[in-house]
Amino acid sequence: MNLHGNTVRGIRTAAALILAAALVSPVYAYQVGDVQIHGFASQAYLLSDGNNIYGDSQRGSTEFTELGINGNWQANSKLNVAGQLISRDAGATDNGAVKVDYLFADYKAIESDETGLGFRFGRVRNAFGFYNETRDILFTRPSIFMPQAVYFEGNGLRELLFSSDGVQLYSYWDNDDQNTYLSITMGRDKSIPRDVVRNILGPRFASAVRYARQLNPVYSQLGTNLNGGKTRLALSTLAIALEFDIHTPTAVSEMTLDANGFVTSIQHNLQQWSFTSEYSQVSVKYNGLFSSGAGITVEGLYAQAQYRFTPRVSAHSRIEYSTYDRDNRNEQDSSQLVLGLRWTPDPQWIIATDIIGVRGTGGIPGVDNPQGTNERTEIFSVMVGYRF
Amino acid sequence: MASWYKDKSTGGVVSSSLRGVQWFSLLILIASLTVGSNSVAQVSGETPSGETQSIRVFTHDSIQAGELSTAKLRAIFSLRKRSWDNNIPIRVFVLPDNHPLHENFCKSLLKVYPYVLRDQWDRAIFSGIGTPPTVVKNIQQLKQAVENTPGAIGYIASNYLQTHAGSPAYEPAR
Repeated sequence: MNLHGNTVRGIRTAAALILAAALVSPVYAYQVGDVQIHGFASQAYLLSDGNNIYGDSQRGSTEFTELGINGNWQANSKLNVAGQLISRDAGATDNGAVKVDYLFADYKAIESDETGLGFRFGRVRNAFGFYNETRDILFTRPSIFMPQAVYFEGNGLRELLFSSDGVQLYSYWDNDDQNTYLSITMGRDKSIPRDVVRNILGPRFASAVRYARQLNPVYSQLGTNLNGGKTRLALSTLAIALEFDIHTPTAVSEMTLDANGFVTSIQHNLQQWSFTSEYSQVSVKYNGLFSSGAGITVEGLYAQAQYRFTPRVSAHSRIEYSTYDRDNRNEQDSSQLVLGLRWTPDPQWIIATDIIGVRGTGGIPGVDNPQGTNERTEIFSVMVGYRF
Repeated sequence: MASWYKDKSTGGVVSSSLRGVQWFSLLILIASLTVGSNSVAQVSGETPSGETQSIRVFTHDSIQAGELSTAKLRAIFSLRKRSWDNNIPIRVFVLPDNHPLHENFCKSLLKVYPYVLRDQWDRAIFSGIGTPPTVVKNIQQLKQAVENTPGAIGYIASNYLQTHAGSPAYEPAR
């Protein structure tokens, strides 16, 4: 507990220092030799009724902080190296530990005026939906909280979606008014940290898990941008397997969980309006411990509209629907309504506020509500973000 | 010294006919997709002050880029295309997002909304998949940066040249 408290205080201090430095000398990026350095910091205030989300938010919580710094080095016309460190504190679900978000070498094997093909080796972000690659940066996601219905923000699955340690093939084709792109990411097996296991299975069940690993994750995304990005379409797929070694006083057993799914994404951008909708379906099959071959289908859908009053001020609204079990919708479904404002007083600063109404417990972190969860939640959130 | 590739006068006024639409009503939103795509398809090169500017793309001397089509400009400024035909890495220089010349460049030459371009850059910057553009503070800095950086590409207002350059070296090559 002390360690956690110190970590959080450390993050706050670092955030305050970065922000102070930024105020004194505003820059758009730092250049160290040939390496371009960018970063971001954001801090939220959350007040909720019904359930806690990230800390004791029913009394007001500031336990939602994101910090990151990245470097990008163009070694030559074919080779790029990029890496990012990130720290995220989010109530009991994330403790602010510094993690390597991505670190890879990017080799562009083929490039012409119309097409290109390359490979990234190392830890790469998984392309999944429009926002997964940059989900922890307030500037690049559609609201303070990611759309829960598609991105599994509050229930511990987010960490599994982040990144793969492996190889990513990417390619694109351009013609007059269309850019089409493809990426296929194949990761190697890796162990799942204890806190992620706890977020997925809950603290009681997680204590029986000795070891957990993720096997052979494969992600793909095929997308197209029409008319200079006015219309964007994408289809993303994922296939991952999780394996848990479970030790109970009476037995030692293994449980596997296979998840296969897809997201369809569509966005239409106008001068003042942007409309975005994404639909996801992930089928999960369990083997071992309780049953063999049993499965559920998780489904989520959201639709968002954003209106820009000026280039600096916009409002958005979003409706979301999700269910953990498509065959038992009435017992397992959640819906959300989000209304929010975003103000960018300067290209480097953003102030965002969202009011969120939740029916059901989708996206409500179990670990922030050890006494159990309620069916309804209202959340008021404000977040300030800085980038360079 | 620099070479010039594009010279486009701009004009027209973007319609704001969508303003009255209720932003929270999903049904009306879907309907407005059809209405809206017609009303904003036209590109405006007008600056906030109302004056129109013509913009040119220019590159460092090391580059013989040939004609830069809209598709090629988009590939370069969206950070997909990374090197010139002679293998020199492309270095993109731009003005801040809220600079009138940047907005004008996006609308009249790239034909991309500035916020859509910014979204593309941010995905590249914060997932590492592209070399970020270098943002400089003003036109003078942008001009100097492009002139002094091998492989550089940027943009500039034509009238800036008339008032600040005066040298035949800065006349458009084509």
